Parts: sequence; structure tokens; C-alpha cells
Amino acid sequence: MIEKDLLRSVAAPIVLRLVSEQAMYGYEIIKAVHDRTQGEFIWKEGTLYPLLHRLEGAGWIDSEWRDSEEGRGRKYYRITRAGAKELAERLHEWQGFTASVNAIFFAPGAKVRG
Amino acid sequence: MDAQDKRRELAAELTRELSGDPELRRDVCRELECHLEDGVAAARRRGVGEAEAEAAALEDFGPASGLPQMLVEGNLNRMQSRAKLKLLLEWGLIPLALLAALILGGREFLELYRVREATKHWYAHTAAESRAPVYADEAPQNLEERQALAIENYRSARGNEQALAAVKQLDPDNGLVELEVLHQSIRGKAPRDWRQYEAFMKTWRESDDFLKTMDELEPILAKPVLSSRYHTEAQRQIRSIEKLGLSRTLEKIQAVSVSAQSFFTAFGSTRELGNALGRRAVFAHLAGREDEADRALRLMEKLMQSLVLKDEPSLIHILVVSAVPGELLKEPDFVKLLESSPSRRALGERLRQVCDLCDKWRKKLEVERANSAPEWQEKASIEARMLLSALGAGEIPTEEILAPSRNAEYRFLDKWLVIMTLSGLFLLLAFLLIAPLTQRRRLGSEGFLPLPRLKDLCRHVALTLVLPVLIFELFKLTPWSSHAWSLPHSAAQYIFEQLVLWALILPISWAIWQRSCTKRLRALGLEPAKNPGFNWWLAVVFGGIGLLGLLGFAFETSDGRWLRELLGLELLQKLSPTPTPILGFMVTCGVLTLLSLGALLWRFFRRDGLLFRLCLARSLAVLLAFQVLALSAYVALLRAEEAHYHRQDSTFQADANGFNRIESELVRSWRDKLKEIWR
Repeated sequence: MIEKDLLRSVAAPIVLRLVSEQAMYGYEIIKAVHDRTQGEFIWKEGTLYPLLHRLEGAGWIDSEWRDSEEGRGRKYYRITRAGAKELAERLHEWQGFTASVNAIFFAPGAKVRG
Repeated sequence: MDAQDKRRELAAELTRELSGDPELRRDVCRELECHLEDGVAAARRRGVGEAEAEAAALEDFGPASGLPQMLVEGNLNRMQSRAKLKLLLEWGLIPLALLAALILGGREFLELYRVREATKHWYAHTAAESRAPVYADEAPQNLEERQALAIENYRSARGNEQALAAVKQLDPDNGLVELEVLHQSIRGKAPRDWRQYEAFMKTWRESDDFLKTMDELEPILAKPVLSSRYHTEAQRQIRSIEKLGLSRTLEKIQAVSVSAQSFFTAFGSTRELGNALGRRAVFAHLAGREDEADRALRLMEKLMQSLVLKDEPSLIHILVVSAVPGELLKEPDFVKLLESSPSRRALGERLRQVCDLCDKWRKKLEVERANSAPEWQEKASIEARMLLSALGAGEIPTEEILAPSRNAEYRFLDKWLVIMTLSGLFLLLAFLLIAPLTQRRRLGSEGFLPLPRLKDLCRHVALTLVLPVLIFELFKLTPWSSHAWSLPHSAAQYIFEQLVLWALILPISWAIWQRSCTKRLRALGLEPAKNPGFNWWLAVVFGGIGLLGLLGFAFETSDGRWLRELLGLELLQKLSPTPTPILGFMVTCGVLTLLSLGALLWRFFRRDGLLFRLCLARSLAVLLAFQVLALSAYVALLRAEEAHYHRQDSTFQADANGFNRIESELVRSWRDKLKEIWR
């Protein structure tokens, strides 16, 4: 189980990354996160929607209602140009961050005492 | 508590902070609904029972605590900007559009109204169905108007001796009305075709009535003034229009129409009386009554001179007077009469000179007609038809010279047709604003504005209104456009083009807009009623606008006479309590519009799908406001163009006498020649 705060900090880039691949609706995003992390990331589904609305409000994603195959309406989200730019920055930031953290956590010869 | 109740409770909890934005609230509820449906469906696929699946979906979603605040935080900027936009559109754009329409379009209407007010008596006596009481207590006290109406009444057999006496008393120095009455009295007894020599001989050879006519004619011709006071009236009206500062086109049309009108009375009298006198002289000569023959010839010449020399004549007076001898000189007996004495020979010489003047003009006309007629045909006004006959005696305008005048006329027509369309939009907009207001209590705060983004709205207006109008402006330059044709022959085509333009643009624009708004409303869970009647009322109102155009065409143009007869509008016009056709037309259209609006209200306020229709109405009101604004700007543009072309137009501007420059030049030159002959 991953720490909540850590999970919260990467939630936005994760959603941006997923909707950058294809337009997705809320339930689909939840399932995609669950499947790709093999159940490591467990989100309370309700918390996704305020996040989606926040990203939409920031202009990083766009939404559109479409009819699904079952005939139900679904609200699909897709990334905007501004969102794609933001995602690129976040990915770059993340790479730097993980490299730095890894350099500390897994420094050659360093031993963890305790 | 069943599953549906739990869902409702969750939705209510989730959206409790969003009550200020009904659209967002619906959006969130709808999304929650879909999400739970997906959750239930997934659980069912795993083989879970329905009740358990429902419970699992709700549990997976998690508690709502904390989510409402997070939703508000996430949407705060959007909610604020949407509220501002809504405020801007509904309380800013719509009043602005209405104001623009009132200032720009209403101004034109006001001008038309003021011109009609300024000229209503003139219109009243020219209208065939005029019911203006001439000799009743409310008869106009203005001398010129009284005179005009008196003549009109005599023509329609409504006059009487008392009326004539009243006119004589009012204007003792002017013999025009008496001349007209005299003419009418002999005309009633003359053969149907008065130019038939044999028939004329049969009727007038020995008649004592004609001697009486000559007795009566003598003092009339001796009067100091023998001119139509229409001309004076025209000057007065033009001055009054100038004072009002009205548009130049209306001025010009007015001036030209009045100057054209001024010939009507004297036209028939001069030609027919002149011919009758000439022929009577022949009969008297053949019967050996030489004194009577001389008297008839003298009166004939004096009649011609009176109309040309006593007062400032119109062009048509000159043409008609000059044409009188031509008809008589074709008759051998008349030619013989003119050879019978030295004084008659002198008269014959003068008549031949007048006749030569006409012949030269005719010959030149034949040549010039081939070269210049197409240019002249570009002119819509009666003026062109008047002046075409006089070509050769003055400057022959080229297409280049006529272009500004023609362009000004086209812009004038454009402007009025756009204003007609604007009026229809105005009515629709008023309805779209009033309808939701009346239903606010019934629906509480549920009604919302299903607005696509402002940029979408601007793009929609640009693509469905501005672009087609630009294309239409380009179409005007093509050879297929009515602008490339002769206007007198393409008035119907011109109106048709404009009606087609608006009939295509506006409903298509509304339909596209309605479609995108319907999609949005459906996404939010609102469905139109199966029989909403919404499209019906659009069709009814827009059909009404089309009908207004057709009725206008039928009432206002001679080309529309067939339509008038087909629709039985002549009868409607007669039954109408209004004195003029245009007023009857307005009343008829007003009644039809009210009926349409009544039907519309009845259908609109049906409960089924009312919320859907109200939301759609609000979004359409915004679109209509944009369209009204765009068309108002278009009117202003056309008005500016019209003014620009008028400034360039030096040919058809009316002078102080109500004649245009060409006409004045022709009259002056021809009158000088006639003066020379009669000196």
C-alpha cells in the first residue's frame, strides 16, 4: 500500500498521462490505474472527480459527453495542449526527482544501519 | 432506504455547495450516475447480485465527506467566469443588442414614419383607394392640398359644383382646377379613342357644347396662373424633409415622385383639349365659320403657351405641349386650314417649329436609345422613364455617371430588407426573453443557460451569419445577381434573393445552435418532449417573417399585383379601416404576427419538456442577440455606404424646385427654344 500523501502528489500527472493516450471517462481511469499498478494504487473513486474538475478548471483537460455502446452517456476527458505541456514538465520533473532520490536511497557503498 | 434513494442522497451531498450553478450541479449528478452505473455493471459482470452490486458501487465510490468542498475548489474559477459570462450575455449583450437595434434599425423606421407623416396628404390623394374627405369639415385647409384633392375627386366623379366654387374662391388666380374640370366635361362626351379623326368629327362637328367649352376656356386661360400647385406642394415637402434631416434617398425619391406626379393633371388636359380645339377649327373652317375657326386656333395656341410660359413647367409639360401640333399636322384637313390665311400660315409656321423640335428629339432619341437605354434602365425610379423620353436634348449620362446613384438605390433597398429581417428577430428575441421570465416561479432555479463557450458562440455567429453575408456581398458582383440586372425588371428577383438569404441563413444558424445546445442538454439528462412544438414555433414565426416580406412585395410593388389578387389582399385592403395600402399592410402583418405569437405561446408553455425548452430558449436568446447586433451593424454599414454614394451622385440630386439637375437643364433649354418660337 502506497503512502496517501505520495499518491496524492502524483495523482494529477497520472491522470494527465492516461488521458493523453486516449479520451477516457472517470470509471475507465480508475480501472486503468488499478490495472497498470496491479492494484498497488488504490483510489477512493469519489476523490477522482474533484481532481478531474480541478484539471479541467486549470485548462489541462477537456471534457465531452458521448454516448457509450450501452447507450449510456459518458463524460470523456482528453488532454489539452496546455495539459500536454504541463505533463511534459511534470514528467521531466519526476525523472529528475526520482534520479535524485535514487542517488540518495541507492548510493553505491552506502549502508543502512539500524 | 433503497438504492435509488442512496444515490440521490449521495448526489445531493456531493453537490450541496454547487446550488449557484445549476448547470454544473446537473453535470456532476449526471457524471455520478454514470459512474455508479458503470460500477454496478462491472460488479454484475463478476457475478454479483443486483443489490450487492449496487452496494459495492456505492462503497467503491467512497464517502462524500470533503468532496463538495473539493469540487467547489476545483471549479471555483470556472464557476466564477461562467457566472460573469452569464451576467455579461444576459444582462449586457441582450440589452446592448436591443439598444443597437433600436438606435440603428429604429432610426430608419422613425425616418420612414416621419416622411410618411410629412407627405401623408400627398400619398392620400395619389392612392387609388383614398378616402380622404375633401369637403368635409376635416378637409385640409392648405390650398394646394385642397386643390389636389379636388382634382382627384373630380376624376373619380366625387366632385360637385359646390366643390369647384370652393376651390375658385380659395385660389381665384389659378385656373388649373377649372381647366381640368372643363377637360373632364368634354372628355365624358368624346369618343373613347379621341385621336380617331372620324369619330371625333361625328361627336364634335356641330356640337354647341363645344362652343360653350370655348367660352369657358377663354377666361381660364386669361388667369395669371395656370399651373399645377403640386409643384408648389413638392417644394414645400422637400423643404420640410430637408428640415427633418432625413436620408438623401428618401429625399430623392420624394422629389422625383412629386415632380413626376405634377404632370398628371395637365398632361391629359393639354393634349386632349389642344387636339379638340385644333379639330374643331377644321370643322368650323369646312363649314365656313371662319371666326370660330380662328378662335379655336387661338385658344389652342394659348393653351400650349400658358402651360409652358406662365409658370415654371415640368419636363413632361414641355414634352406634351410640344407633341400637340405633331398629331394635328398629320391630318391633311388641318394642314389645309393652316394654308388658308396669312395669320394661319404664321401660326402653322410656329407649330411646325415646335413640331421640328419634337422630331429632332425623336430622331436623336432613336439613336441614343440604342446606346444609352441599358444605362438608363439601371435606374429604378420613374425619373428614368421620364427622362429617357427626353434624351437628346441634354447630357446623356453614361453608366459611370449613373453608377453612384444606382449603388445608392441598391444600398437603400438592402438596408430596408435587413431592417425587415431585424424586426422579425426583434420580435423573436422579445419572446425568448419574456417566456422564461414568466415561468421562473414554476421552475424555481432549475432553468439554466446551456451555453457553449463564448468562443464557440463567436465562431458560430461568424460561420453562420457573417460569412454567408460576406459571400452574398461577393455574389452581388457576379453576373447572376440582381445587381447586375436592370433594377426595374429585377425588383422581384432582388427581394427574392434577400429573402432566400435570410430564410437560409437564420434557420440554419438556429438549427445548428439548437443541435449543439440540445446535445449539451441531453448530456445533462434533459430530454426534449416527444412532441415539443419548438421547431413548430420557429417555423411559424420565421414563416411569418417570410409572409411579411411577401405581403410587403404584394402591397408595395406593381409586380406583386398578381400575388395581391391571388391572396385576395385587394379585398382585405378594402376592408381595412386604414386609408393607405401600406398602413393596411402593417395592420394585417401586425394581426398575423400576434396570431403567430399566440399560437407559439400556447405550444411553448405546455408542461412536457418545458424545462428543456426554456433552457434552449435562453441559449437561443443569446444567439439572437448576437445576430441582432451583427445585423444592426450591417444596417449602419449600408447606411454609411448609401450616404457615400449619395455624396458621389451629382446627377439625380433634387434642386430647390424638386427637379434633378438633368431635368432642370432639359426644361430650361427646351423652354428657351419654345419662348423663341412664340416671341
